[in-house]
Formats: sequence, C-alpha cells, structure tokens
Amino acid sequence: MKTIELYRPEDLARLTKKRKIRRVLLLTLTALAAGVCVLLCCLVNTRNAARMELAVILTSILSGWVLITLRYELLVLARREAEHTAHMLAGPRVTRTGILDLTDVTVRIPGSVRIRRLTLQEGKDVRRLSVDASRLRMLGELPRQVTVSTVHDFVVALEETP
Amino acid sequence: MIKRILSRFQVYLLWALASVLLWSYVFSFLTDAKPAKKLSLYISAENVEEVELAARLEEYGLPDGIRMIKVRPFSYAMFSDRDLLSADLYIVKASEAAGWRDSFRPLPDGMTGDLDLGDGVQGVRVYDAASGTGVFDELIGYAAEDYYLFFGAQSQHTEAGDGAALWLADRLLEGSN
Repeated sequence: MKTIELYRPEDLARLTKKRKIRRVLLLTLTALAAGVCVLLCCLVNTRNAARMELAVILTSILSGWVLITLRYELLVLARREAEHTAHMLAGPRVTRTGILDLTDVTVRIPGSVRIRRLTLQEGKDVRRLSVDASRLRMLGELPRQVTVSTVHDFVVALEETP
Repeated sequence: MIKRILSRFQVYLLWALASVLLWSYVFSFLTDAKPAKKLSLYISAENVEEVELAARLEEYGLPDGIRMIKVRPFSYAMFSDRDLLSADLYIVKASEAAGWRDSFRPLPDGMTGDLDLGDGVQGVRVYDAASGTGVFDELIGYAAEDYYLFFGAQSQHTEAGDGAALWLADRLLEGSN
C-alpha cells in the first residue's frame, strides 16, 4: 500500500535553509541601501546639499518600501512555512478512514500558510479537514477512499484504502 | 499580493515619515554648524542666490576652524531673528541701515567706511546704484539704491578672536566687478 507523506524532515531542512538564504539576501540589500544613503551623504557639498537631501530621502523611502515588501513576502512567509512544517512533523497524529474530497474553499490562516479545505466522509459522518494548499497536488486524484493521518485536522499523510 | 501590500499601508507610511525625519535631522548636521564654526552673511535683498554665493566664497578656502559659510536673505529670519542678530556680516540697503544700527559694530582697524551711522559704526559701500555695479551683483538682486557692508555686533569671529569675519569681508570686497 502506497503512503504519501506530505511533510518530511528533509522538507523542514530545505525550508530552514531557504529562510536563512532569504534573510542573508534581505540583510545584504538593507546594507546596500544604507550604504547608498551614506555615500550620498558623503558627496554633499554647499551647491548640491538640497538636491542630495531630496535624493537621500527618496532613496531611503523607496528602498525601505521594497525591503518591507520583500521582508513580508519572502522572509515572513518562508518562516511561517517552516514553522508550519515543524508543527506538522511534531504534532500528535490521528488516523481516519473515509472518502476524501476537495471543497472550493481556500483561506490564508493569519500568520501562517494558505490552506485548502477538504471533507472526509466517514460513514455518515463528514469531517472537515485542511491541507497546505502548496501540497495539494501531492494528494492525487480526489475523491477517493483513503486512510489519512492528521495533525490538528491537517492532512499530513494519506494511504490508499482498498 | 496587492491586497496584502495595501493591508500594510500604515507600515509604508510610517517608514516614509521616519525617513523624512531621520535624514532631515542628519542633513541639518551636515549642512549647518554652530556659530563658532561658520560664517554667516545676511543680505537685505529680495533675490539672493545664497547657495551659489556661499559656494563661491568657500572656493577661496575657509579659514582655520570654519566649516562653512552661510548666506541668507533677511526674509529667512521671518520666524526667528536669533541667527539674523548674531550674523557676522550684513549687506544692507542704505534706507534700512539706520534701523539695524544696534546690530552693527565699528569697522575693523584699517577699513574705511562710506556710510557713518554714528558712534563709530560705519558701512562699506558694496553696491553703487548710480553706476549699477556691486559685489557679486550677478548673484545678489540689488534694488535701485546703494548697499553697504556692516560687521555684526554679536559676531563670534571678530579681530579679537579668529578674525574670520574680516577675512570674509575681504573676500566679498574682492568680488567687486
């Protein structure tokens, strides 16, 4: 029987490395922007002082906006993704069997990853589950009869049930 | 993504405000100095290219201990006259000179004045309305009357000190066409 693991320890290592690379990239860009501002300050003289002040302020504002955007869109998301993966790997697993199906609902958990809602029909009971939207394609064709492992109602592994 | 960026609008706005405040503060240090470290010249004319005039005067090479020369029109002091009253030199039109008399001091030894305001306070003519010529007249928009150079009563650069005000006066007078 084939088991599909959605979260593997090597994923966590990869995500941690990705987060570190992004952090270094962001720090480098921050240092570069600060360096440009300091360089412009060093070039100030009586004639160009007003123009240089405007140039430094604009450089600071625009580079700051870019860095803020990159921080949230790259670094914070990478951190959340890594934290989510670590949480899923460490959490207590519960196994359930039923017909797993997708819903159209996709939500972003504030401060975490984007998720897709699923349903698991266990006899007459229908349980609502979730899956990290970026790992959705790992589930394969749905609906189908499966045994799923969950951590806090998040699908972390699935096994085809005959 | 656009929605997420817009949701952080306050962060971007705060950063813009912080940038303006921070760099304005930094530039106030870079482009200004304490009175002891700068020479200031106030000019009672409407159109003064103060930046270019200061740059030209600085090109002579500044005296020891002086970081910069500041040239200002009198209108610069509309909100606070503290800097104006402690200026090192003044270029004032003839019709206004008497009104500013208390801000002036006698000329240094060796200089002779063209306008006497009494008690030894004199001014050196720097613009002659009759001939239409004056010092740095391409940078100072003189009105149609004579202008005089006076030494500031509260200057920190008197002959008893570093004498830098006299140095600046000499450079200005060299600028006669």
